[in-house]
Amino acid sequence: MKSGGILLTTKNVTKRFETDDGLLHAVNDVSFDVRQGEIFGFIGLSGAGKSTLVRCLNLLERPDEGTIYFDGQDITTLSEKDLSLARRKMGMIFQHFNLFYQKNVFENIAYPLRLNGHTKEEIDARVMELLDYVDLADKKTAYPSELSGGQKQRVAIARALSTNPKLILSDEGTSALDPETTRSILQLLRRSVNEFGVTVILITHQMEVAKSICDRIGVLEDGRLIEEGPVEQLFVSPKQARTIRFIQSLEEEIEEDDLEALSGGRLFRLTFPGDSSRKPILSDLIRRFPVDVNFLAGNINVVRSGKVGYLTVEISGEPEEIENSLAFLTKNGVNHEEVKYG
Amino acid sequence: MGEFLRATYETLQMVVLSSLFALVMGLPLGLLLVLSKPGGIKENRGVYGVLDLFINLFRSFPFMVLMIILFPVSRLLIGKTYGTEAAIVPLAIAAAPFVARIMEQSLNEVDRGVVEAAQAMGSRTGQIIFRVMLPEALPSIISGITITVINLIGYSAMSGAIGGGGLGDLAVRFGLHRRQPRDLWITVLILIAIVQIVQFAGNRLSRAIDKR
Repeated sequence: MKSGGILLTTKNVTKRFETDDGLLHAVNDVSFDVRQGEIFGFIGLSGAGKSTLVRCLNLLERPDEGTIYFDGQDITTLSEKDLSLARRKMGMIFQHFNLFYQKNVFENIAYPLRLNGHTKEEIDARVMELLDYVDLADKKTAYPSELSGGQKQRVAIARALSTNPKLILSDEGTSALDPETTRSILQLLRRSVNEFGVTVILITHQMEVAKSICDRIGVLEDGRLIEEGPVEQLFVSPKQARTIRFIQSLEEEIEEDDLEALSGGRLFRLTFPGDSSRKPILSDLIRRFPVDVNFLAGNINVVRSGKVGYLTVEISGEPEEIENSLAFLTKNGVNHEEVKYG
Repeated sequence: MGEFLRATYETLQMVVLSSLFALVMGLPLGLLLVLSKPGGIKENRGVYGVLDLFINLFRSFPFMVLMIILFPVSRLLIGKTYGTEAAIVPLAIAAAPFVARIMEQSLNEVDRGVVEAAQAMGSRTGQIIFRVMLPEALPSIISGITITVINLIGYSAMSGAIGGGGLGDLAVRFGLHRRQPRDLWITVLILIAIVQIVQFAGNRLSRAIDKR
């Protein structure tokens, strides 16, 4: 990966919130550098402070402590006017797209250009160029409510790119999208880095996202940056034991994101504690009860180790037979929990 | 027939003018409430607290009482305390805090994420207000204005007490003093027609511009 100089540096960024349970350190003493032209991802479980951190980078949240150097200036000290100018060098995309609902696609993309006072001709030309780039030229006059999730995010990316920003921030930009759309949005981001030299900082709880697009990754836990490094290093040879634990827990979380019932049955997440993972309980179950069991996801490594196994299955059949199957599982020490989907 | 026409004209005069003045006063107040509220883009607890209290205070007065209290204001602005023009003053002042609340509610419905997106793009406060919040809230604001106008049609009926005239006043005179139930009902039917037209037009307009 080609990388240039440092574009963004944070030093000791801390953000606290008052909660009912006392003071919460949503972001705790986080320092890192991001180089020009790289994709830097933060991963972490929900509540780890990812979203607060990325929102601190353009001061949507103002950090209680610490400094943020962006493009050569400490943006935490800027006046309101200068901050708005600095923000025009950053684009941002969001989990729920946050398009202007009452403006059509063209006007959404034109909005940042209008802020910068471009002429009508410049705006027309630039918006059309971007519409072509994100492959939505035919949706120019459509309103966001008429678009699919993937199309909305492409409009949001075009809007974020319109003023040729140096940095794009993505706050869970693919979390509301299906796996295939996620891939196409990630490709679009990668293409933007390659073609325009833009830098991307993203946060995600989806490890596949982090693995497939990031050059470097930082792991957040309880507001702290516990490890950062190139993506291969982090997944192949993490330095910290808790990074390993964390990656495992993320893997389990992710599986359920992509699940759907295949044949109209009910989804269950089965937990095999202790030695129950060594017994052939499921094949027993299929023989005893007239139900079908689809295996959707599981963590085979953990199952093999015999400690705790997770398996997500779809059980279909007569409602009472499903209930009987569940009772059988409980009797054999397998916990089950219904998974909501759709 | 002349009586009905004249009363209809007076009602329309009172409602249209008091609505306009109420909007001129109420819309900025509502905007100020939303900007200054805790967590708003120009958070200011002092401004918000005073405004909130002030609006509640004005909304607590029964309209009849408000009309009497506002005599000095009417005299100052119109030069008299009696008649259709004088009735517009208490009508507008009674409706303004209502408009402020309606406006507050409409602006609060604007998706917070959308406002944040605008902030993240480097919008200044004025740009957020005029290019994002107001356009995004417009369908809802129009529905709110429709409700205000219809309320004012109702309130204007009470202005007969200070010689405001209008359909409500005419209905009271037919019903109570002259014992002409047929004419009473004609007056009411005209009022119903006006309310229907306002509601229909408001709904159509709001729906036509709403792209959500």
